[in-house]
Formats: sequence, structure tokens, C-alpha cells
Amino acid sequence: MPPPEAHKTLKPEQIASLREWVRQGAVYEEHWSFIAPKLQPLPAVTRKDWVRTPIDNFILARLEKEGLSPSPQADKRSLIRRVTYDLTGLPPAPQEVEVFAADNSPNAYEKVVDRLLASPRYGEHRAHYWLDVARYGDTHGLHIDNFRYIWPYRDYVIRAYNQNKHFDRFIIEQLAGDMLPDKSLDSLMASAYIRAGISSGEGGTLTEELRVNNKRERTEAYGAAFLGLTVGCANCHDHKFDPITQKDFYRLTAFFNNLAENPFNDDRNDWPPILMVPKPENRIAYEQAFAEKAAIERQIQDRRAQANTLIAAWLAEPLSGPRPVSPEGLVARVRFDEGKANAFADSATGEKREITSATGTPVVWGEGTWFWPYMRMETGTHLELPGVGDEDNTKPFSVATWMRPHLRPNEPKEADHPDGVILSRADADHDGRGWQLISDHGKLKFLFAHKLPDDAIEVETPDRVLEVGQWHHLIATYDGSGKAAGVNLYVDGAPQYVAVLKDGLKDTTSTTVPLEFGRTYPDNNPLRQTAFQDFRFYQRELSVMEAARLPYEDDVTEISRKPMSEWSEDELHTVTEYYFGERDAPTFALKAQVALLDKELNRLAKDGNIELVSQEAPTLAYADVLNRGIFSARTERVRPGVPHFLPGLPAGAPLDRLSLAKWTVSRDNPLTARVVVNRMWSEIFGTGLVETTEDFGLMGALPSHLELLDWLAVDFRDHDWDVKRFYRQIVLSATYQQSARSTPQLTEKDPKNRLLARGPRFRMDGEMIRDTALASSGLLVEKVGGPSVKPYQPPGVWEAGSHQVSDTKDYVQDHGNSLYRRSLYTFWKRMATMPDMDALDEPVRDGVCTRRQRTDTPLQALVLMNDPQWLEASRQLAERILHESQQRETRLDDLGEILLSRPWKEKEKAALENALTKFQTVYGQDKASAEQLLSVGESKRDTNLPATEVAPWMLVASAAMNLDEVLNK
Amino acid sequence: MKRENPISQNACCDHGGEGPTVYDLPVPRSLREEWKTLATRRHFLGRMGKTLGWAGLATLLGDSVFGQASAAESLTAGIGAHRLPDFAPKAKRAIYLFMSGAPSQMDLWDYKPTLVAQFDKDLPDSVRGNQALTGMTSGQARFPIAPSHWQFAQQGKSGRYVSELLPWSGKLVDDITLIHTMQTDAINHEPAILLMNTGNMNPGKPSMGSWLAYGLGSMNENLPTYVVLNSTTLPGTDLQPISPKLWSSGFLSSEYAGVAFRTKGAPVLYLEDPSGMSRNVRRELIDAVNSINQTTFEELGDPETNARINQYELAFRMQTSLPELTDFRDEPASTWTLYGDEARQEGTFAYNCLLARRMAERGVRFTQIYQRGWDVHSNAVGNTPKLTTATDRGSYALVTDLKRRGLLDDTLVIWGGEFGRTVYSQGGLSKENYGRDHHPRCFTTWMAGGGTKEGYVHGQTDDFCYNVVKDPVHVRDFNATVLRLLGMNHERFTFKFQGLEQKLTGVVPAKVIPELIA
Repeated sequence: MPPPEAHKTLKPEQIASLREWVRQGAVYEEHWSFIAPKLQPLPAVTRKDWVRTPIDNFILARLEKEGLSPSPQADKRSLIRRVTYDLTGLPPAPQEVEVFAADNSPNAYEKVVDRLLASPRYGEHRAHYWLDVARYGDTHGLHIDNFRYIWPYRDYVIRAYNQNKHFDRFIIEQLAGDMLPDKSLDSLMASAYIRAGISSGEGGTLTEELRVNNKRERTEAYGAAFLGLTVGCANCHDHKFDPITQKDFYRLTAFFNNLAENPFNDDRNDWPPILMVPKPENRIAYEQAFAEKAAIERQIQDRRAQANTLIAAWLAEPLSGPRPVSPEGLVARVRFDEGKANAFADSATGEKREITSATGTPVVWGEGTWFWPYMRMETGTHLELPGVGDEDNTKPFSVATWMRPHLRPNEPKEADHPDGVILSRADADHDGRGWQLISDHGKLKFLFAHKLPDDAIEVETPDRVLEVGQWHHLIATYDGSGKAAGVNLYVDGAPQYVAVLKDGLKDTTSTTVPLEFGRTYPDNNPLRQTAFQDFRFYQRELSVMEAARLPYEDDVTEISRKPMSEWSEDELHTVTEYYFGERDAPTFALKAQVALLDKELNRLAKDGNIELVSQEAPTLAYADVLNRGIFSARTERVRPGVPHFLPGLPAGAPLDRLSLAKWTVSRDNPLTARVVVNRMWSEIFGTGLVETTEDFGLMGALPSHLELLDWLAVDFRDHDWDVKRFYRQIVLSATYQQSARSTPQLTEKDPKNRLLARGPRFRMDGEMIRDTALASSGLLVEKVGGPSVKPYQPPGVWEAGSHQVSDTKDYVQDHGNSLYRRSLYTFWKRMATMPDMDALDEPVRDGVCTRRQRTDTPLQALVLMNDPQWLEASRQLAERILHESQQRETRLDDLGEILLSRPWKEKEKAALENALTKFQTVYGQDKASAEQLLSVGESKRDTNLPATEVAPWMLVASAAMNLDEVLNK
Repeated sequence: MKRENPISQNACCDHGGEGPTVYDLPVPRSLREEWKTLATRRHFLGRMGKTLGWAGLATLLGDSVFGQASAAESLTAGIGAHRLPDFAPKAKRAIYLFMSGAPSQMDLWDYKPTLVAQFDKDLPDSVRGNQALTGMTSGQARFPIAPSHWQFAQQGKSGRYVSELLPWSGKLVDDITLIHTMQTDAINHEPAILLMNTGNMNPGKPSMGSWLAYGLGSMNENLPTYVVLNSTTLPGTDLQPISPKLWSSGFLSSEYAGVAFRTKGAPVLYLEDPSGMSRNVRRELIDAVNSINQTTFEELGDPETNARINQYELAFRMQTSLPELTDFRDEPASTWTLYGDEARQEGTFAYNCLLARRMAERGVRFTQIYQRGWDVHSNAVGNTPKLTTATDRGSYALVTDLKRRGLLDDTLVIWGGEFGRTVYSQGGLSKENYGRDHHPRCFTTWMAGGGTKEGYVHGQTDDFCYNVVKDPVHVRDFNATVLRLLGMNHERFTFKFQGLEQKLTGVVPAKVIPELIA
């Protein structure tokens, strides 16, 4: 709705319409696609004999209403050509055409259809459509645009189609294959779908910015692919037309916001999480072990499903329940749980009272959750506690905090380990007097000085224990002895072995400067942008047992003082994680088994193929509503949810990706089945029943045949989302089998053939056109799956614009068989796609494409005439027909049979004859030019055939490959 | 030069389509004349003539909301409502010299003499304010000020100070409009360069050139409407990537996408016939294809077949017109005096400038020349001169050449990058060298010709070249102004996609900066 300040007014006739509507009772009905589809009765038709499948009832009823008649059935040769392309993406072999033409049995056509559906080519062809929707590419797609391993996902898609994996399962596996109770290697491979979109590792970008970008990309892709909704419009504000609120959008993004993934891809080929796909010989053993592991994990999940009961029982048991750390000696505790602003309270005494305020750049709240939405300091933030932590060398004390060094992208490996001061009460301007807790390139160090460098204690862990992007609980204790032996360091509750670097402290360590977070006073050795949580200072030495309880158990004790019914979701999560992580014996036993199986799986996956996959983080999924979509403008934290105007998730369903996946294919969801069948329809007929295949919202196109769409959706769903059955049903329809011939009247009345009074005819996708050239020439190398290949490409296409350090800057062309694989195996560099395919409207796949453009340009003509791939295919095709027969006449006929599955018409043949004669005149006299012409491509020439004879035929073959009819299905 | 298929409208675009004749519309005379000149050839080409920036035109006239089916109605409605552009286009074409990587404003155009005294002092927090820093310097302990390494001298009658690095284009100060106060929302290359080119930080939106191709159409069917030229890169410079995203047609038909010329050999891929094939043979082959296609058309009645016949004819002609375009042998000696010998070398920036002028003469609507390498995070002192040496003379020569040929009046030339650079040094600062990080708050862009002012400086930055003191020009305002110079109202020049009136300038209201227009 336009806001009042837009001053949009209604025209008198619009007001009149509204009045009329009100007068008629103001019946309001929701937008068609938001109402669940019902199985529509088949409409009655006059020409009952024409009908072969229920589809025909709907199409014919409409034609009869419009006063149109269907076209006659296409001739058998056209039909087998069409259906072979539609089901396999390749032309039929001439023998197949002849067999079909001669087969007069009533089920001749069905036999062809079933043969094609069983061909492995079927899955390859279907996959090329789905990979557009899944935005599959072999590079990250932004900035440095490095290669990444995701091609096993492409093979999963091919396999899924060929095995006729039912589409509901296909969807669930892709959205949450990593979370399924009955997950398998295959379903885990499918989960690469989530991560198939573009991502960045650009050095200067900010972690939070990329995290927001990634989940937004995935949510928009999900909306377009499965809901047919432009949900991304609600990124900045409520959707202007559809009832998707901004909150709906962010609730949807929350499903995709809990991956165990660093938002920076760091330009890595193996951007974690990854799967090692075992080599074929280990696959069976791997799958067995994987299934065992999944079964145990199911038991762990089952146990966890009883969390409330188990936890309640545990808490009720006086001896086993959680035990607190005594508050004795606790002089300061800053939880950093305010959630807003820059003032922080001390809760050491139980009462909360403000103790300090950050100055300089404000702190950042809520980028993520650690117990609760956490606080992070910014580069310019100063945070100090003046009255805390001044301890002389004779007094015992302990300092503890949770902390998370900020993610620093794209820096040398060294930078994975933070370097700087974590906490201090020390005066850098006066001999460093006081204490400092330091991250020394990831090693934890405690420095306690009267006067640096020598009048001091210095101890340090020998190994790196701190990593950027990870939460660590740190404790330093001191017993007041004045000796290094009196210092203990703990990380995540565990005592650390330390090396004593100095042990010469003699004099007082007392200083008047404040306790500082992330630096030493005044501004030395800063560790900027660090997040802190639950800082504590004790005027006593904590024991080993206390140190072990401090990170989690103490907090759990605090929570458990309240009745469970009053716990927040975050608190319940904290207690649950703690209970199953440290207290539940059966879970331990199961986890031990998992660990063993993991070892076995790693062994079996050795030397396998890497694949980016999805993996859920153990945290609760959240997202923040962002004001105007700005990544840092968080306004409200939300849990995952589906759009409010659609049927909700089942009561009690966990709020996670798996629930979303199941909901997507649930009977209640009015959209997905329709969206899916519509897209499959558009592959065959060129246009969807809803033309805007990606938008079923209010601004999308209305369906040309709503009842048919609904019938197809319900029928598909009720037959278990059986994909092969669906295509079979379409191609067996009379509608599909019509001749594509149009009349001027029909073209006039229905230029886009939406009513389907004639058969489908449109220019094929680039892949089909190139594959046709390869297949007809005999060059095609058929092999399903494997790493992407690099066929011919003109020099400079990658090199011209790539980032200088990109590993896809230099195109190194393959040789031999890789030059002639089906086009869906061609390496897909998103920032420089193959120029031939680009000219033929292949999308970039930097977002979802549910329907390609279909342009017609001079550049396309240049590709088809001059690209070496087509010229080489012409050369090979010429040799093929020269071998197959000896007569000029029959050779020309063969050309027609190969490319068009039919003999030439008289006029066509005359044109080719004429051209051939002219070419023969030219090249018959000019062996040198003929040789030059034939030199294209790496495949061998048959040198028994004279160049002067092959060259003219090569050009005739090239002409034939350029024909409109060859480019159209 | 791509043509849409009116029958199977597809994909992320909906098109203008066909409609009644436009010649008697009350549009600016110059546009009408242009169309008439083209009419003859268009007639010859059959249906191709009907899509002459047609869709874009209709949005200018009508309510701007129209789908493919209703283009004609919308156009008629537009006439009835007399909703016309209230200004005539100043420029017919544009050439955008894009300095990818982002040049340093305070080392080239924005003179800050007081910085010398500030060497190695910390940039005051009050100046830096709450500006988000990139991940590259946000962890930096200090932000030491790095004054420019180079001397500035007064240039032209106006006596503006320009860096010694720009001895040639410095001479243009009396001809150009310098904008010191460009501002962007992005602080990293990929989003920033997308924002400059497409008005959005995420991929998928049409580029400025595509909008112009869509809105204004072609002036020469035998050449692409929108050409992208990539320049030879310079050893040692830090290259940020450029990719077809930057000249993408987004949701507009892909016929409006930029065509990236090759820096070596034939300008367009697959333009050249294979060796061993004469033009006569090519002609014979196309004749055979077209005659059979004609039969197919008669048989099946699909208008698309007819369209394909035309595309093959056009391809044949492009095979002649493109080599002619890139054959510089007909250039007079004065050209080489002006551009220098470097312009003889294929792919150099100077070569591309000369090629851009030749395209301007031949009616290419929009040319964008990229020079990569300006990303001086380190070694600014070593790399900046390499880049200015490569680009300075060509930029000067292009403007001067257009001017002396009388083309500058209706050709808009733009020079600029995707953001500016920080006054403080990234990494170590010494007397000899420094690096500069990305800076979104102010940077310098200049425009020449095409209805811009001569010798005008717009806006003012603070003494630290960090903040705008006066007259900021946001990217969207800049783009709105560019559209205005080319005769488009950015508010009304829209395209409906995903239910939204999409525009180059995006959803946040943009404004034309009137001071930039003569």
C-alpha cells in the first residue's frame, strides 16, 4: 500500500469499481497462489477423441472456449526429435528415428519415451535446468573468484534425476540433507545446495556484512526456487505488494543463519564446512559406516529430545546437580548482558549497579549469541574499570572472562591467532607496572611486573591456544607468593601447562591506572574489536575445581535457581548444552562411538573429493531484523519462522532448517508444488503456465490455465512427487504431440503460444545447441560426472578482468576427451562465463535463474559460424557423411537425417546443392585454403579423404548447423 | 545490437515490444531527426527497426508502468497526457573512463597544502568520526597522516592546483567540471564498483550503459550500442577484478548488455571467418542458410525464423564494420601528435581513448574504458605514477580531440573510480612511501562536454580530505545527473521488475545536481 504521504489518489472509475464491489458484498479472496491447490475436475470438452491425458482436457477446453482447434499430430520424425531433445537434451540417432518411423505398434511412441527416461542422458539434461535454479558454479563468484570444490553436488543432481529421486526428497536433501535423521552420504552431498551461491573473501569487507549477505543470498534463492516469491523485496521494508513483512523475511533468513561457517570464504577452494567424498572403491564401506553413525546420532538426538525431563530429574537430584563457584572474594562481575548502549553494570553483589561506560566509538551489540546476545568493542572503543584489579604482589587474586577475538579476514595465516592485550591493569608509561593478560600470537601469556623487563613474572602457554572467531574462557590465578609458580592459567576451564619466561618479581605491582579491556593503559598493544562476556575479578586464588566450573556450570547453577518454566530459550539452550555435553552418561557413550566411526570415515574418505556442504552450528538459530537492510542496523532479534500469511510450521517443530525443508514440501504449503510443476512445464513448452516462474506473488503473471496448474500440482504431489512420471505424462499428451506449424491467424491471435493450439517450438538452450554439434559430428564423449572440464575458449577471456591472485585467472584448456564432454560439465567461472554460451543466453548463475532469456543476435550467428567448436564439429560431421555413403545425393540426405531427423525438402536440398557446388569450385582449385579450413580443432583428420573434398562438405555441414530448424527443438 | 525475441518473452526481463510509429511524437527534434536517419536502414532490416530504444522511450512518455503487452497503449496514453521530458538531451553519447581500484583524490586533484605540516600526526578522532573502516585498517593501531608525495602547480586560466602527476589532463581544468565531493555507501571494491555502475551493491541490476542502450537505442546497427574496453594493466600495480557484472543488462533484455571488446585481434569474439574462407564463401554460406530458413518460415510460420535471417545479415555486415572501426590507418598525423605513440599499441589506455573517439563518431552510444590498478594499499608512491603516466595523456587527448572535432558538445566524458582513498597511511608511513586504504566519504570525479560546465569545481572537502564540507554528490545523484544530461529523467526512466519500478538510481530518492549542468 502506498503510504499517505505518497498522495496517490483513485480515479473516479476506480472508485466506482470499488463501490460496485462493496455493493456486491465485498467478497475478498486471497491471492490465488496463497490458497492451497485442489484437485480440479476435468473440464468437459467436445472433441473427446483428441484427449489422451487429463492435461488435454484442460488445454482443449480452453481452446474450444476461444474458438480454436488443436493442430494435427506432429509427424513421427518431428515427434521423436522433439521428445528426444526434451528428455535427453540430445538429438535422436538416425537409426532411432528409422526404428520409430517403421514401428506401427500402438505403443511405439511410449516405448521411445520409456527408453529416453531410462537413459543417463535424461539426468544430465534435467540437471542443466536445475543448476540454474540452484545457482551452481565452480567459482565463488565475487572478487578474487577462486575455484571451489562443489562439482560433486552437480553429480548428485544428475544422479537424483536418473534415479528418479522423488522431488520432495530432492528438496529436503538439498535444504537440510546434513540434518536428516536418516541422512546419507548422498543427502549430505545434496546440502551443498545451500552454499552454492556467490560468496566473498574480499579483504576489506566486514565479517558481519558478509554473514548478512550470505544468509540474504540463500534466503532469496530459497524464495525464488521453492516459493516463487520475491522475498528479497522485504530485505529493507515490508514487501510493497505481497504480504511478506520485513519480519517475515528476517525470520526466513534465520533458518540459514546458523551454519558452522566463517562468513569469509577466505578465497579457499575448500571453504569449510566440507565433506570428503570417498573414492568409488570405498563408497560402500563409507556409506555403511555413515549409516551407523547416523543411527547413533539419531539416538543422541532422541535422548536430547527428552531434554526437559532429563534436566528436571538431574536438577532434582541434590548430589548430582550443578554446583556454583563460591562468590567469596568476588569484587567485580560484569556480565555484559545489557543488550544496548554503552553503560555496564557490576553484579558481584547480586544487585546490579552501573560500574562503567565505554567511551569513544560505541560498542557493538548482538552480532551473535553466546549465552545471550553479546557485546563487541569497536576499534575506537575504550573500556575501563577504574576501581577494580589493583592487586599488590603479595595478595592472591583471579581474573576471568569469556572473550572472542574478532574475525580478521584475508590476512596471513599468522593472523588466525590474535595478538594483543586481552585484559590488563598495568601502566605502560611507567615500567609496565601491574598485570596483563595477553594473547601472544595465540599463546596465552600472563605478565606481572613491578618494573619491566626484569622485575617481573612472565608465564606463557607453549602452544597457541587462542583463535580469532572463537569464544574462549580464560582465567589467570595468582596465589600472592611473588613467584611464577604461583600463577595458573586456564583455558575453557582446563589448566594449562605454562613455560616460565621470567621469575624475578621483587617489588610492588600496585598501580593507579584503570583496568583496561583490550589494551594496556594508555593505549598499548591493543587487541581491537574483541568481544567480552562475564568478566570477573576475585580477590582470592580460584581452585582447579572452581576454574573448571566457571565457564558453564556456575552459569547453569544460576539459571537453575529459577523454575524451568521461567527460563528463556537461551537459558534452556545453555543448560541443555551443558547437560548433554558434560553430565549425561548415555550421551557420552554414544559420542564415543561416533568418534570411532569418524575415524573410520576419515580413513575411508582419504584421497577423496572435497565438496562444500552444509553443517549446522550447535547454537540456536537467530536473525536480526535490519533497518533498511543495513547489515549493522539490527533492530529486533527473531527466531526462524515461515511467512506469516502461509500455514505455519507444525506445533513444537524445532526452529531449524530441517523443519523448513519439511514444511516446504508439506501438503499445507500452497506454493512449492505449483512452482515446481510450473518450472518443469516451462522446460517443455518454453513458457510456464505462470510465465513469471520465479514470482507467484501479486506482481507475478497470472496463470494461463489455473485449473491445469492446480491439477498438475496436486497430481504430482499425490503421486509422491514422481518426476519421471510427470514428464512422461506431459510428453504423452496430445497437447505436446501437436505439430508446431502455425498459421498467420494463429500467430496473430496467440503469438506466444500460451493457449497451445500448436506444439512447442523455440530456440534451444546453449548447452543443447553445442551438444547437438558434438553429438551429430560423433565428437561427443559421454561420461557421467566428474570434475568440470575446460574445452576450447578464445584466449584472454579469463585473463582480461580477473583479480591478479585469482586461481582462475589463467585458462588452461584441456585436451582430448575433455574437449567433447556435454556442456553441463564445462567449468563455470562466474566472473567470466564461456563466451559461446554467454552469447546463447546462458545465465551467470550469480543468483537464481528460473527462466533464461531467449535472444536472437548477430553475436550468436558469429558464434555458430566461427567458433572453432562448431567448425571442428562441421569438419567431423563432413567426414562422417563422406564415410557413410558415396553419392552426393545420399550424403546430403544423411546430413538432414542426422541434424533434423528427416530428409530435406526439395527447395532446401537445392539450396545446399547449390552451395556445395560453389564451395567445390572454390576449394577444388585451392588445396591450401582447404587445408587451412580443415586445420581447426584438435581432433584428428582422416587424411585418407582429400582436403579439397572434405572442405566443401565441411561448409555445407556448417551451414546446416546454423539452420533455424536445427537450433529450434 | 542484440535483439529480443518478441514471441518467447523470457527470463528476468520484460520488453518494450512493438508499437505504432513514433516519428510524429512531440519529442525533442534532435532525437526525432536521429530516428529518421535510421529509419531507412531499419526498414531494410525488417522487424529490427521497431525496437529503437522504444521501451525506454515509452517510459519517458507514459506513466512508466507498462508491460510488454501494453506498450502501445501506454505510449498513446503518454501522448494524451503530454507527459514528456521537460528538457532536451544535452548529450547523445557518453564515454566513461573508469579508474578501477579507486584513485587517490589528494594525490591528483584535491589539493591539500596544509597536510604537509601534519606528516605522521594521528588523524584526529573527531575527523574520523564513526566512519566504518575496512577490515584492512580497522585493526591498525595508528592512523598517521600521509600528505601527498607530489607537488601541485596551478593550471589553466583558472589557476587551479593540479598534481604534477597530471601534466596533460591538468591542462583541461578550464574545460571540465571537477567534483571533489563524490560519496559512496560502499567501502570495498566489489560492492562499490557495482554501485557506481549499476546503482546497487549486489549483482543483478542493469548497468548505466545498459540503461542508456535500452532507453536511447542504437545509432548504428552495425556496431554494438554499448562497448566496454579493458586497458593493458601495468606491472606491479594491484589489480581489482572487473567482470561482465559491471556491464550486465540485469533484468533488461541481454541485448542491452555491454559488449566487451578484445584488447588484441578482432574486437569481437568469433568475428573473423576461419582461415581458408573468403568473404565470397561466407556470403554463399549465409545465402544458403537464409534461403533454407526462408523455406522454414514459409512452412512453419514462426516469425522468429524471419528474425534469424536478419541476424545473419547483420553479422555479415559487422564483420566489415568492426575491422574498419579498429583500423587506425586512416588517422591523420595530428592524431598521433595528440595521443602520442602509445595509442598505436593495441589495448593501451591511449589506444582505447582513440578507439572511443572513433566509436563516438560512428554512433556508439556508450563506451566505458577500464584502467585497473589504482588500489594503492601499499607503495602508493611507486604505483600512482605508473597509472597516471598510462592514463593522463589519453584522457587529455580524448577530450581535446572530441572538442576539435565538434563532438564534445554532445558527448559526455566522465573520469573517476569507485571511491576515494584515506588520508592516513595504511601500514607503515615514511617520508618516501605510504599506502592508502579505501575511503567512501569523498573522492574526485570529473566530467567534460555533453552539457556540463567548463572550468567548474563542485564541492569542497575538509583540510584532511576526509569529509565533505560543502555540496556532497552521492553516487545516485551523480548518476541521476548523468541521465539528465542524456535526456532522461531518472525518476521516470524506470523498468518494472519484481513489481518494482526499478531505476538506475535505486530506491533511495536521488536528485539531479543542477550546478553540474551548463
